[in-house]
Amino acid sequence: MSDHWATKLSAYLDDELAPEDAAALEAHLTRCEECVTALGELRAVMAWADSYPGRAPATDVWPRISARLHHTRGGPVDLLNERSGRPPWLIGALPKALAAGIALMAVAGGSWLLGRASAPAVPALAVIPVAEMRGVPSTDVTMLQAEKYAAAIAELEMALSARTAGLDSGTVRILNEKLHVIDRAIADARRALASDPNSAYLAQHFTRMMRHKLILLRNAPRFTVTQG
Amino acid sequence: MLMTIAGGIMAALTLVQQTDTTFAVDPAARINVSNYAGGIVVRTWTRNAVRVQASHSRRDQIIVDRAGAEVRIRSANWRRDADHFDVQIDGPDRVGVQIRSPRRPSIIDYEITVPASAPLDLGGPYTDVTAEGVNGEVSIKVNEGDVSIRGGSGRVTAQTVEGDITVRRAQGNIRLVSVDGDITLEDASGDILAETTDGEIRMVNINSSNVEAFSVDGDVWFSGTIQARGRYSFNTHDGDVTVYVPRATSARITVATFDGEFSTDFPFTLDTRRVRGHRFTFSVGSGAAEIDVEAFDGDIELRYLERRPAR
Repeated sequence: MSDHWATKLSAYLDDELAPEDAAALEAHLTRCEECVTALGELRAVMAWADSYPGRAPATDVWPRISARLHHTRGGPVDLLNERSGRPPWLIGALPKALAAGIALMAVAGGSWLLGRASAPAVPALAVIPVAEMRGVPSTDVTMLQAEKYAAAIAELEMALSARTAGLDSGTVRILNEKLHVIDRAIADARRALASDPNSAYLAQHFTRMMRHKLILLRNAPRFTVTQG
Repeated sequence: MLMTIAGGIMAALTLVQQTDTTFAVDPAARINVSNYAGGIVVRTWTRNAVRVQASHSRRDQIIVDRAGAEVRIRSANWRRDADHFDVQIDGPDRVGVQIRSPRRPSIIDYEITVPASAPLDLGGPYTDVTAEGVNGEVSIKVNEGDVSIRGGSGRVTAQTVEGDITVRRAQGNIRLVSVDGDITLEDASGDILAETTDGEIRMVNINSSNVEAFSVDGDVWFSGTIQARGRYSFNTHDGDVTVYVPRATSARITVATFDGEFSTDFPFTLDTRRVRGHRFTFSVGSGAAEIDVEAFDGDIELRYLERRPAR
């Protein structure tokens, strides 16, 4: 599955592709199992997002986001520093729902939980109904895609942290190291995006790093296990 | 038990230190070799037979299990397909994990000779894998170990967690994925995907209409032809991207970098109306193909193939 097609799947589900592009994608789907799988997963995520009632977060950060948005007029907001001392995170002028989702993404995107002694606190999932995002700029749509990845990443990290004894320790170590490499790339992209929130390239690059992490997490259980 | 599962013709060989056996197979039979640790070397011949040579400890047994059109070769002490763990996510509050424990591991060096057209399925946790002169499909999956393939057609896939992947003279649907390792692809054609988290990607003499190369931390290097309606994507987060294509290339080229420089042999005029943020697009020739080159933190070079340095 190439990025060329991957980036069109979401728009395809939203009926936002031009007819010729949709036809080309449908033709591609007849010979690309990976895209069919990705489309199915995306469709499931969207369906789940639309039906998911949500869970109450441990800490309601929206009042602080809202307050900052009123003060900053679209500038960067150091939201997470208030909680964990992490680097500043972009909120900008994005809609309320997306901003809340990105806050979650920042929580989920910087951690790798394999090998921890105990499962971490469950991150609050603020999944945004897709319908709310119609008509927003393409950069924001890309960020919504990243937010979906972040939600999936959080779930996968949680699932893997629940039990890692079956994975070979060397494999776990390597995966941890390389996930930290991806986390650093995500942090780089995040900072770059904060400096230029309207850059479609930076938004897509950020999303790509998130997607890469998601794929690695998703594939982790398939790696061969060598000890019981 | 394995004997029960196989359900077909089966041979169990108990040998001391060295195994060497040859048996007839259908030339299209899929050869499946699982090895916990050591090495797998596969070569080909024109006979419709498989020869298995293996060096191993006294306590080990090599099992050759033929079921239908598949031949499985592995140690009796370890089965790759018995030790996955599965994660199933049914919703926010339902996560199931099932682990199937492996058997006692073993260390074996295999040398296996197969019909050239036989599809191959090779791998294991700590094993190097080499497949020489193969004509059929190849699928290799290892955790820690290097992978080398010469030949291969149809679906050619290689995956490592830690290890380098080198593929030469392959054609078809080529997918090479490493988490921590370099990827080298030479003299190849077909649809190509090369992806590594931490490593360099080097593609030499590529003839393809669909190439995607991606590294999070590593350089990307490509030389090859550009087909009329081909799509080419070269992307790294932290590294340089160097692309060598023919002077007569006809393509629409998109370049993006956050903190890097772009240089090219191609004459072009930057249309400022098409510069958006850190990305711009220009065309050479009629612009039929699409080439995307991105290096978030690295330099980008787009050069004439004729100026490519010698290997």
